[in-house]
Amino acid sequence: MAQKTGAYVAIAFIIGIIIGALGGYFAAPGKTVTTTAVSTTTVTKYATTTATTTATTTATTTATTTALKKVTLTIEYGEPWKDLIETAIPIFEQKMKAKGYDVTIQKIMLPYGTDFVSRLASDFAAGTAGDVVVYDSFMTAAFASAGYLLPLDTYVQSWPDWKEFPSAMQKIVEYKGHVYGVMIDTDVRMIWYRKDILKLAGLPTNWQPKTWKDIFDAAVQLKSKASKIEKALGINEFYPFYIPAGTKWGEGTTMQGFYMVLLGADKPPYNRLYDYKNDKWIGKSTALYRAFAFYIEIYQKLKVGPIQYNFASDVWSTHRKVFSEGKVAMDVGGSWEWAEGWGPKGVAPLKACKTQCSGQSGSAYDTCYFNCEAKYVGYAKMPGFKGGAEGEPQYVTISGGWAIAINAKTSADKREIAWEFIKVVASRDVLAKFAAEKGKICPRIDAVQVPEYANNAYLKSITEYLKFTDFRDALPGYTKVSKIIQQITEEILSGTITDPMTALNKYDQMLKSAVGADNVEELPVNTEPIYTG
Amino acid sequence: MVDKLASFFEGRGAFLFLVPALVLIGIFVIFPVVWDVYISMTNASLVGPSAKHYIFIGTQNYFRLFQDFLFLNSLKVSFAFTVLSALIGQAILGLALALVMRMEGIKGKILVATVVFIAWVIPEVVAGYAWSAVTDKQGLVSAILSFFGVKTEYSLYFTHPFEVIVVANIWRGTAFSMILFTAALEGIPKYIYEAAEVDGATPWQRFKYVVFPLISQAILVDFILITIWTFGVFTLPYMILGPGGGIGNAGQLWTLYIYFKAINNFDIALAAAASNVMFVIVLALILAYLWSMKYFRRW
Repeated sequence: MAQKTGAYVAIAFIIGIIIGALGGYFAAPGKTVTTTAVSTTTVTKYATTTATTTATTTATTTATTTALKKVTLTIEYGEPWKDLIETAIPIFEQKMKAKGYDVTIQKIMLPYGTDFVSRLASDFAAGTAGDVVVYDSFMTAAFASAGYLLPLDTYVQSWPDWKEFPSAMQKIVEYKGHVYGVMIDTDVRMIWYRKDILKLAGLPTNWQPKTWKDIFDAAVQLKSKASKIEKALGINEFYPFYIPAGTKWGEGTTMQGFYMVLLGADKPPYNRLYDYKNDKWIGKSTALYRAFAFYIEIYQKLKVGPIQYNFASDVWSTHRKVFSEGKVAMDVGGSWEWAEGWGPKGVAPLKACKTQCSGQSGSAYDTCYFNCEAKYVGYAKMPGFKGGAEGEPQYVTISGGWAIAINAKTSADKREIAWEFIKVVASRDVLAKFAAEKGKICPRIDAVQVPEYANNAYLKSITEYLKFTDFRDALPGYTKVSKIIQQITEEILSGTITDPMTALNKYDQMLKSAVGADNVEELPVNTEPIYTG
Repeated sequence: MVDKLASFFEGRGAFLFLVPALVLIGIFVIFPVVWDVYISMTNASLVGPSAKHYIFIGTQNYFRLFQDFLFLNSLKVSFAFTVLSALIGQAILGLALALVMRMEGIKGKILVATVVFIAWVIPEVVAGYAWSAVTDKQGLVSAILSFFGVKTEYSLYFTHPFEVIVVANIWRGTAFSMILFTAALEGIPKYIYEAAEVDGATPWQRFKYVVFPLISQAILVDFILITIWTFGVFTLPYMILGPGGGIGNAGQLWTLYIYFKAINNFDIALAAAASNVMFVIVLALILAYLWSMKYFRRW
C-alpha cells in the first residue's frame, strides 16, 4: 500500500515538474530570443467596429477605433540599466499606441555578476541577441566590424537631439565613419577613499595625491596602522590600496586599473597602448614599464593590495563590499560607485549611514544617506607619475560608458520601432533623471536643464574631471590587447612575474603573437625604479 | 507472412528504423564535429571583422596552441585532475563505499549512501556555489581549521585552487562509482564467498582473489566513463574558480581554457582547435581502455 502511495506521489511529482517546465518555457523571457531572428509582426484588430445605429435613435454614431499593429520588441540590457529601461517602457508604449502600434516588450535582463561583454558577444554570434541592446561602448568597433550592429546614420541625422551629445560622445559610438549607437551614460575614474580610515592613519580627510609617490607613501602609512584600523572598525583584514588586476575583472582590469596608471606614466602620445602616428600597437615603452612597475609595487613589493579580491567569484560585488566594510581604504574605481556601489540603493551601502538614516524614508532617507556618505567617502584625482614634472599629465582619468544600439539582424519592419525606443531611452528627461539618481554622468549637454541633475552636488563636483578625461584605444584589435594586460597583471598577482622588465617582455611577446609582429613597435624604455620608499 | 516480415527487418527495413536516430546523430553529433574541425582551420572570431568574414588558415591554430603556455598548462592540470579526482579519488572511494554497503550489521549505511547521492543529484551550479562558500575565508573549512588552531589568511579556493576542485569533484562524482560497484558486487553469487571462507581465505585474500577479478570489468567500465566525464567537467570548477582557473591558472582545466579562449578572448577558432586536440586525446584514452579490457578478459 505504502509502495503504491509512493508511486502515486512520484507520478504526481513528475507531472508537476513537466507542467512547471512547460509553463516556464512558455512564460520565460528567455524563450523570446527566438523572436529576434524571426519577425513576429502580426496585425490584430482591436474592436475595430464601425457601428452605425440608425432609425430608432436620434443620432447616428460612427465609432471607429484604430487597428493597432502588434509588434514584439526584445530588449537586452544589464541590471545596472534596469531602472532606465523600465522608466522608458511605459512612455514608449504610450507613444507607439498613438502611432498605431501595440508593442510588447520582452526583456532579457542580464543580472549583476554577469560578464555583460562576453555574454552579448556570444548572443550576437549565436544570433540570439535582443533587437535593441545595451552594450559597453568600447566594443563598438568589435561589434560593428563583425556586422552585429545596425548603422544608425540616417536615424541620428534626422533626430534633433543628436546635437545635444558632445562630439566625444558621438565619436565613442562611431566606427569607420558610421554611427552605431547612442550613449546612455558615461563616467570618469578616480581613487575612492575612506575618510574615516585615512583619519585613523593620520592622513588628511581631503586627501589628494600629487604624484605616484604620494599614493605609495599613503598606502605604506595605512599599512603600518593596519591593526589599529582593524580594531577600530571591527574587521578581520585590511588592505590600503586596491587597483583591479587579473582576468576575473575582464575589461575592468584594463579600464579601471591599467589605463589609469598608463595615461599618467609618461608624456603624450607615449602614454598609450597604440601609436596613432605609425599605426602600430606599442610593445615596449617607458609608460608600459612604469605601469607594470606600479602593479608590482602595490601587489608584490609593498604588499599593500588585496590579491585575493581579484580572484573572488564576483569581483565587482566584492570590491564594493570590502570598501563599504572598510577592508580597503583606497580603491581605484568609476564615478558610478557613489550611487551604484555604496549609495543608499547601491550594491553595498555603508552600514554607518544606514543606521544613521534608519528613521527616515523615501527621498528624505536618500538625502540623509548621501550627506552621511560624503562624511565617510572621498575621492581624489589620479595623479600622473611625477604630477606633470616630466611632461606627463598632471591628473588622469578615463571615460567609457554604455550605449544603446539596434541588432543588425532586427527585421526591417521593426527597425523603425527599435529606433523609437532608443529615442525615448536617450531623451533628455529620462536620461538626465536616471543619471542623477545613479550618480552617473549624463552624456547629453542639456541634462543641466533638468533640476534633478543640475542640483546634484556630487555630479557637479566630478564635472571637473571631464576637462582632462581620455578614451581607450578601442580599435578592432583592442579586446585582444586588453586580454593580454589582464593576463600579465594576473601573473603579477600570483607572483609569477616579479619585475617590470619581465612583464614588459612578456607583454611585447604576447602582443606580437596576438596582432602580428608587423603591427607592433618598440619604444625606448627608461628603467629607473618608480619608488624608492 | 511472418517470414516475409522477418526478412524485411533483416534487410533494408532494419535500416529504415535506424534513419531517425542517424538523422539526429548526424545533426547533433557529426555535423558539430565536422564544423568544429573546419572552424579550427580558420581565423574565425566571436567579434571583429573575422567574425563576419573568416578565411582558411590551415593548421596555424594548432601551432599557436602548442606555443601557448596556458594551453600546455591546462593539459597538465586536466591530466592531474582526472587522475587524482576520478581514477584515484572517485573510484577508490566508490569501491570502498560499495564494499561497506554490502557489509552486514553496519549502522548508518543508508545515511551515508543518501549523503553521497545528494552530492550527485544536486545541480552542479549549486554544488559550485556551495564549494566556494565552504572554502571561503569565512567558510566551513576555515572554521574547522581555526578550531584546530590553523589560521587561514586567505580563502582556500584562492590559495589552493587545484586542490579545492579535486576534492569537490571527488565529493560530487563518487556516487556514480559506488552505484556501479554495488551493482557489480551484487552480481557475485554468495556461494563463492562462502566457498572461499570455508577454504580459509582471509578477507584480504577474498577481495584479492575472488571479488577483484569478478568486478575487474566493472572497474574498467567505471574508469572509461569517469575519465570521459572528468575530462569534460566544466560547471563545477567554473563556478568555484572562474574561467581563469584561479591564481596562477593553477586550476585552469582544459574545458575552462576552451571557454576562456572562446568566450572571454573571443578566439573561437583557437578554442575549436583546443577542443579537437582534447577529443583526440580522450579518444586515445578510451581506445587504450578498450584494449586493456580485452587483455583482462584473456587474463
